[in-house]
Amino acid sequence: MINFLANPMRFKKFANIVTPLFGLLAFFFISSGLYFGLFNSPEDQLQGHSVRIMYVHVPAVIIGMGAYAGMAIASLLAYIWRHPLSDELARALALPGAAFTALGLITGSLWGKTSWGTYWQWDGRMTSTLILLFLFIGYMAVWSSVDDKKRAARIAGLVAMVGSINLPIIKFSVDWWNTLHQTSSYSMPDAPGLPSSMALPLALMALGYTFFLGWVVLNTVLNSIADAQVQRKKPTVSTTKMEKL
Amino acid sequence: MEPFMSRLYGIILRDMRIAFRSGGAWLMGLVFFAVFLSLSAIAVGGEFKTLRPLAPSIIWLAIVFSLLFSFEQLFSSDANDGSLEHIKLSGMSMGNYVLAKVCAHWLLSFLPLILALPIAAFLYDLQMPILIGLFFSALVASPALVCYGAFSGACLVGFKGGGFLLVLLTIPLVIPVLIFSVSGAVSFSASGLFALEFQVLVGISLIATAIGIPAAAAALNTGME
Repeated sequence: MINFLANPMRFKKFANIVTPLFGLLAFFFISSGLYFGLFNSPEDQLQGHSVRIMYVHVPAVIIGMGAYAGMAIASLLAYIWRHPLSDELARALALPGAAFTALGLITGSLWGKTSWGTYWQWDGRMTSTLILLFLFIGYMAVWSSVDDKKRAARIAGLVAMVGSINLPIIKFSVDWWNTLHQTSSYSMPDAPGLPSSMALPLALMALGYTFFLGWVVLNTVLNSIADAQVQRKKPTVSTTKMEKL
Repeated sequence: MEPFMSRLYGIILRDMRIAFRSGGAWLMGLVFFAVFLSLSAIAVGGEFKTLRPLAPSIIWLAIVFSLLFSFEQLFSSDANDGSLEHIKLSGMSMGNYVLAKVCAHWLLSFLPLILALPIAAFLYDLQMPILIGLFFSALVASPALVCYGAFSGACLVGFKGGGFLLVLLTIPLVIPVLIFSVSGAVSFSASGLFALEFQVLVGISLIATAIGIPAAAAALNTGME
């Protein structure tokens, strides 16, 4: 599968079919998730309507972390097999990943104000999400400040892979510091879990965010392929002119 | 085994010799450490009552920042004068070279900071248990700091003005170290060397050594492909 898609032309054919599909699915899942989340789900007994922030907040952070994991995996593939497309994939994941992480932090602080009474608290999970945002920014800074594109790709890939050891720290930091942020409602022993009327919009939103991420990333990669084609055509035009002369 | 160790010692001794002959430039980190500490004390107001609880955090910040700024120079002089290429041509593995550079850097930049800790304790009027806690947390966390810093330094070889980018790249990796070393220094007086924080720090240091050195070697190799 990876080797099949490593050819940019084959990837382009594949992406031309899949990208609009992803866009449609993202639109469908996010709009239905928003309908169920905002209008057709119960209020929380203690938090009232503010619990609806959850449907935006939880999937955003999950997709942000997923984008980082995808970036690290794509960088690993690029590092071992030297597929240039894999580098482009990792690069394309960085900006939407950072945006989702920032969205998670912002909605989290709004939700924290209504339920904990504070916008920000230096607790383990928030701190490590903030670190994740810094990692995204550092990764993008490497891309933008190295002139030699091949070298930038290799170094940014290394940065992403080394940073990915931060992801398990994010996951376990709740147990290490464990101050304010609640642990996942699913993984606690004898937790009641979420009622299905709340789990449904959450799952819909998570799916919608995933397809949206895929849509943005594939579009970016298609753009960079087109860019590379334009770059390659330029010298051939001049050589044909030279031949005419 | 024999050439491995002799090459390692060779690079370490060379770096020490260069540093000692450079007229004290290697001590700039120590000066920065002292300046940072006195500036923080002035900014906080200079009262020992308010300074004492903040001291472990301020001292740790001073350690981290004076180290961070030193990594920009770690590989750049070797890369600029071409000795890096010669070392690669000589058949020495890049990992071995990075290990030697990291050891030399630890001796030249980190050891002076650890030895200066009693002076920091004197400036902030710290009790003996806190000083010993700071000493052990610095010792245990140093491999992590030095290896991650070496990785960022290797990534940014040949960059113009990579100083801020280096801080940006290293800080995320160093934040867990900072959290656990500060709380480890404080909890040393209660639970001694077997405090949870020290165990976590040892783990982070081992991970950092296993990841940072090969990654730094790979980053140096990208410049010579």
